[in-house]
Amino acid sequence: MSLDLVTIFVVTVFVTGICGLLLLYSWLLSRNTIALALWAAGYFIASIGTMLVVARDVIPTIWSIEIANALIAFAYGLVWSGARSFNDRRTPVSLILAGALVWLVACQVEAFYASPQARATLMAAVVVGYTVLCAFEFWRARDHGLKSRWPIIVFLLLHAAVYLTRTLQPGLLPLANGAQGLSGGVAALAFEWMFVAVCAAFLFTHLARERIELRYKHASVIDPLTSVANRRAFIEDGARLLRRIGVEQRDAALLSFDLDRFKQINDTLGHHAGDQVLCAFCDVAVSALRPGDLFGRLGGEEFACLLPHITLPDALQVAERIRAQFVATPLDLGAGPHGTTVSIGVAMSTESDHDLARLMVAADRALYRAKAKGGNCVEPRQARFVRHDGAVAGTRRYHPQLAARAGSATKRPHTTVPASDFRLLENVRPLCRKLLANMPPQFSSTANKSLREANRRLDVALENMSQGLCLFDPEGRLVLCNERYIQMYRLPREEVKPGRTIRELLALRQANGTFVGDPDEYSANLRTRIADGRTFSSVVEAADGRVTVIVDQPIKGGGWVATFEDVTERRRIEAQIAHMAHQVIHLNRTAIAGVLSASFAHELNQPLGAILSNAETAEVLLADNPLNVDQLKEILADIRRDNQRAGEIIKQLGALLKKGDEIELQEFDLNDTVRCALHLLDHEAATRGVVLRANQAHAALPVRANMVHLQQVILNLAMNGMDAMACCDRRSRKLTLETALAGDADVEASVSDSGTGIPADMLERVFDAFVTTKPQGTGLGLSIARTIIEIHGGKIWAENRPEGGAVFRFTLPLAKTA
Amino acid sequence: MISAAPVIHIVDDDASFRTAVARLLRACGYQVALYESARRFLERPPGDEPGCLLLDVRMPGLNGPELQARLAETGGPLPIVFLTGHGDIRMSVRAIKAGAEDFLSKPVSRKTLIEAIKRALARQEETRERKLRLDSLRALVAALTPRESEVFALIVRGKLNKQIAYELGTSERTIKAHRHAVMQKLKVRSFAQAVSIAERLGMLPETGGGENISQT
Repeated sequence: MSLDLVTIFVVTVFVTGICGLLLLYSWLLSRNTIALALWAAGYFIASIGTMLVVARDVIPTIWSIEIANALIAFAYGLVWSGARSFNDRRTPVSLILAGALVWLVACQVEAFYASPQARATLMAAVVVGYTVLCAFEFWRARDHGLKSRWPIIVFLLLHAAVYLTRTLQPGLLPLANGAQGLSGGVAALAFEWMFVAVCAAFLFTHLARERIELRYKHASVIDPLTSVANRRAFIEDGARLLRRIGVEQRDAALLSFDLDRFKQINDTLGHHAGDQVLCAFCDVAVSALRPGDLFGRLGGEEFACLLPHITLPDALQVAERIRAQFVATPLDLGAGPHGTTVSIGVAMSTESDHDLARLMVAADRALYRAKAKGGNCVEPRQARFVRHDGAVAGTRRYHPQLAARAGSATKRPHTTVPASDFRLLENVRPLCRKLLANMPPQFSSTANKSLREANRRLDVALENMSQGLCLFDPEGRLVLCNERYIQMYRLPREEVKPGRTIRELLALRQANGTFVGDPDEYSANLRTRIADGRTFSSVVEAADGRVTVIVDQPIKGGGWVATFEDVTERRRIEAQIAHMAHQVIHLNRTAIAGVLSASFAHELNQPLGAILSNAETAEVLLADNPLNVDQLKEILADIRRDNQRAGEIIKQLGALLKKGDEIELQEFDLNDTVRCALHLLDHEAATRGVVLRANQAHAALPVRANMVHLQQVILNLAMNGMDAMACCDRRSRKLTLETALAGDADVEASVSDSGTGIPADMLERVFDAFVTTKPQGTGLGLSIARTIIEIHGGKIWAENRPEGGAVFRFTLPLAKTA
Repeated sequence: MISAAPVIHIVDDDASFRTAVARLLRACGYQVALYESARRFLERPPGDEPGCLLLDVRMPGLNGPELQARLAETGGPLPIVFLTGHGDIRMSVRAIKAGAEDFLSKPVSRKTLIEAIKRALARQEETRERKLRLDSLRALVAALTPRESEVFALIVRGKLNKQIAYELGTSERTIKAHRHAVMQKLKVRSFAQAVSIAERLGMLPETGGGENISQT
């Protein structure tokens, strides 16, 4: 086969140039990688140099030999400097040009220039030198983790080897072949050159890209501030590490860290100081760890560390060392000692549990205990617990609430059942092992895993319900029940088993007094209703005063679900609230009675005065002879009448002062109430210089309400009105009470004053509690008025009158007398 | 000139109380007149006869103190005893300062009420008597001839007969005769008694001159 050398060289020139373009393009895409530009330049220059070599027949030898080879040497220098630049090393221009300069200087020596062999040897030396340096440069940065570097090194070394061989064994690849000029050896070299150039160019671009990707990847797993693993990296790597430890059946410890009073530092000394503290802590922690330990920042001032192959005492020691060193770390924050300490929670994984999320929750709980102790301490996780009410169930559901939430909420402490409700698992652990060993093999297969998970979740939900729950089959036999049900009715645990009938359960309850009635009758009745598809709900008050709401709900396919809710406490609170509302209403009435005391005294003294005078008249008349019996009779009748009148007044006062929790409704004419209120207000109005007017409907206005409460409303409104006029001119103080029919279903009453009116923005709010426009007001009167009116199904509102002053109106439903 | 039993005027809006007090006072021998409001009282004001006013403080329309003020303007002679269902100190002080005889709280016992009424009537009687006495003295003085009046005015200032004679441009003997007539007409026996009359009628220098005697 004969090859046309010129063609081969031309192809080489083009290929080299195209590789140069490729590298240039790569550089344009990522300008930060200067190496690419240097490489591109090297390729272009090499391309030009080769082109000059090819043109040796048509151009002067100074170009085709001296300049061409100098350019090629320079190109190698550039490629080498590119490799250095890739490793962030600068290269002096003199060194890049060194090869070319040596060549040019050597060419000035006559003897050298005359010997093609000598020239070839020197060039080969230059090429080998730069190539080996280049390979060394890539090898030097081998721990940067870029995979493409290895083929590059191989290619470069191969290239160097080829040239070296040519220098040492010139005969193997003869330089010249007779008069033709360039020999087949040169052609082989050109091929080798082309091959290396293409591969190197490809690998260079790939290398650059790989490094960029690596940097992004790095940035996604490394916390930029502290340069430790970030949350995601920690959780991914930690889970992997734990799985491996699980396979090896060894233990690991998880340390959870939280810097105490970190927020204070941030708030008082600035975020820069906070950053410094975080970095200092990472330095301390990282220096205290072993090579295989995993440390990461979970966020904010929370860190975690996974220590594989360690025992609890050692883990505690590591934690304690970190804590102590951190406290002792001097920090220059510009304002005294940093005062930050670290709290550490330590949790151990065990042979049976290598779940990172659970481990993190456990460590977190320990951490919060450490925090609760005041910080700056190391707390191990407490021994595992199980609910004392069912050893077997408990082992299967180790910390069920936590496990269920572990995925999402690893940071918050969970308050579950108080610790006093737990007993150490250690006592039942052997039993669990035995049970697990006896389980059928398919139980642990992956196919059943999701089913088990679903069951476990159901258990968690059932056991954490605040209501008691039972599921019965169509025959009335218990399918399942939760712990709450057993506790609520203080049932003997061993007696409550699936298959028990509703009747038997009722009998058990009857025995301990939590069920009153006949179990046979009740269960029969219940089953009939359920069979009819009806929901059966009842409120039951037990002998011990506990009130329970029971709902029996039929379910599809037969059977029913019974829920038991203890509402004793809710009832008690509701009653308390109602009682307090009554207290407030009563207090308001007492206050009204206090204000009206003068009025009452005045009203009462009229009949009392009349009675006294009449009695004394009778005494005088008794001395007469003969007795004037008719007049005495008249006097006695008057005394009786006045006595009744006094009684009425005292009754009114009593009603105002009376404390009653029940609202007694009665039907009466609203006009009477207004009249009565007017009477009580009469004296007060006169004392305050207020002219009291009434404008009442002629028709009766029957309402069904509590008379005292309505009177209280009217008195409140009237007194408000009088207060509003306190600073008005004495002659213009008018208070008008009106009643009227409103539509055909309501009655309306209004109290209008001629005072200053209500600011527009207060119109809506005056009825809110503690909102008042008066300097001495408590802000309760109107709020109470509204409460009372709303209790009676009415509405109350305030308006400003166009002629000045305010009017308060309320409506009440008209009582149906028919 | 003394009329029959005094009339007690009761002004109170509370019918029951009004009736009861009226009954009591009648039983105690008083004449009573009843009014359900101050306006009613003003419609038929009582004359000069003795009596007193039992007045409720708080009434619709014109109230007690307002009626008191109205009566003071017209110079009514009735003493006022206030009766109130619920009074305070301020109210009572104001009423007393305005000339009320008493201020009582309901219910009021017969003893207290009758005592208050008696006191009021006694005060009124005393005032009436004093007035009657003065009126009779005035009548005596008015009966003197102009010359005798001149002589009387000078006598009570302690002037001697001859001084008087000199002042009036007549003889000492004539003055002596006038003086005798004056003593007779005034029904006094001594010079001191005559001076006393002059003093009671306010004819002595510090209360004015003798010129006013006939006018008062």
